Amino acid sequence: MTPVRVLGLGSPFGDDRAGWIAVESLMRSDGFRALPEGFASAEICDPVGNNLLDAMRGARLAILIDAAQSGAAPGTISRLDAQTLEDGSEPWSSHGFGFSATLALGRALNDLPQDVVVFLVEIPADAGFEPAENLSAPVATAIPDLTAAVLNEIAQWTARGAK
Amino acid sequence: MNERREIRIDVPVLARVEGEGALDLHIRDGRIENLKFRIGEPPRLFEKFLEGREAFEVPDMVARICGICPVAYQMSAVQALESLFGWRSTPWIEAMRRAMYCGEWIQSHSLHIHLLAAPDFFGFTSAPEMARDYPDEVRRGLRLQSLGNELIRLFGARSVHPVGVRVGGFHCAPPKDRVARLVDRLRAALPDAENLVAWTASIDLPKDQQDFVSVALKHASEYPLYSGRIVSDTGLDIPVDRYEDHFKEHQEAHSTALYSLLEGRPYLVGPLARLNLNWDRLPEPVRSTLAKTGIPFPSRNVFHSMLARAVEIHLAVVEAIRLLENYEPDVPFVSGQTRAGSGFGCTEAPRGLLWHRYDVDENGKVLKARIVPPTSQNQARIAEDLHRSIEAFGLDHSDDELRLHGEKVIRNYDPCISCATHFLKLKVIRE
Repeated sequence: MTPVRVLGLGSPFGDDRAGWIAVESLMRSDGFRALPEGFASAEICDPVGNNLLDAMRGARLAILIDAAQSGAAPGTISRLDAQTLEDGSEPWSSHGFGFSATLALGRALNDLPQDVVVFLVEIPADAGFEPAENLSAPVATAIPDLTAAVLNEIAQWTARGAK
Repeated sequence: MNERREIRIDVPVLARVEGEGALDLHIRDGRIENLKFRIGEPPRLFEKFLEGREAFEVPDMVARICGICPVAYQMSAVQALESLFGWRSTPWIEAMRRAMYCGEWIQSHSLHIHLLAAPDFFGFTSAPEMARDYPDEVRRGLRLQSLGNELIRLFGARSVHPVGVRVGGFHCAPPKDRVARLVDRLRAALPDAENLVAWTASIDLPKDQQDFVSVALKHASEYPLYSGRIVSDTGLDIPVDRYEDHFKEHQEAHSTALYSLLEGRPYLVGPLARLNLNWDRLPEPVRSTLAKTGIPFPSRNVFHSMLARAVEIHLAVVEAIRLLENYEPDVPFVSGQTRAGSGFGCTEAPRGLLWHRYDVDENGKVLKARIVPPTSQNQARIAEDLHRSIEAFGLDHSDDELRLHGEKVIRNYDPCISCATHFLKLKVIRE
């Protein structure tokens, strides 16, 4: 159980792969490999809900990466602090306990790591989610920046802790 | 030989259970003239996907039908195929199947009670909202759910769409030290499970007595999970291969999910039906914990489904401890020749009876598959319940109040469709 955990969210469909691919890219990066043994781990995390809370439990910094559609330019990377996100109003069920509902539940129970940072990469409004679809060009182009942003986040967090 | 290979696995069809529930109410002169409960579900065609597939592929494919009860689909499938092939599984395999299945009951029931059903009865619109006032209860639910997931992971490598099950048994036997650690966690969860029964029994539920038919498996000595005969409280008592003689599915124009009737009548499957028919099979200390609540079973109050779920969580924790406390690894599967014919399997999914039939050819390929999930079996009963409950609740209530009451009724069945959530579409015509 590492103090820093990076979790890629998404599905195997088109641009919704972005979080998974970012994690794969991160794990191959020299910067991530250079981190001390047992300090940081990265994995793709398919289901949200309680599994996501479990995956974050015990960490001090959790970084979540997901695809988003907010109307920004495709490929835009945004960074949010999960502790200050508003509770979403998405519907939820046994099959779809969604991302914002999960974070809302974690906040209500004081069950989130001290620092939870969410990186979102904007996918096109007309993104296809066909099974065989590749990442769209703007999303694919953003992956190296996203990986660098995550590494930078870990470095800054570590530096803050060192002070 | 060190060249890197990029492997991408593509899933040919979106296999999520999607759908929505809609309720059309036509009220005339203070009476319900017409009630239609609709499930709008895109065609999933799972039975068709299985045609032409090797029998050994079936467990991994059917696990994809449901993200919440994949183990149930795997268990009904392997039971059907093994009975067709004449493979006799060992007591070890049977015990481990039951243990894995306990994990699924624990996680599915905990999720439903704490995150989906309970907020209704405490006046909250969501679990995060309820968590602020009842953090200990919600935390208990999450703890139990995690425990159930861990138990599935022990045998299936992951809790969603597990991969450890094969026709004949399991791909491997879990290591002894891992089982021992999990047994410790199960023991530590006993107080949570007992408290949950008492807590659920103390919730002020609607006192809505109804006449309905309960259908469940019944086993000679155990509370039913993986095996038994199909029985009802109206005298039905048949082996699983006679299911089609008594139960008929049909399509109704307003819904894309099939309706199922027993001898022409709606019937109930799931935790309450199981407990109504099997309360005498509860082992100690589950029986005493239930007795302390003072609520007698069989019960005619469908809202006691939530209590039945709590009782089954307690049962599953107790059973998993019994099955795993003296665990020794063993040969994890049996095998043999395949043969042509029809095989039948039926187990108790968290939501009720899950019946499978496979017709297999001489090469071990599936010719035809038939899968009858619990939610379609409950659909006619849900419609019948809605009719009675909403009339009893009072048709003079506002549309919003009627919708909320309708949602409570539907959610109580824990249907495996998105209408278990807070977006039941209600259309009321008042004349």
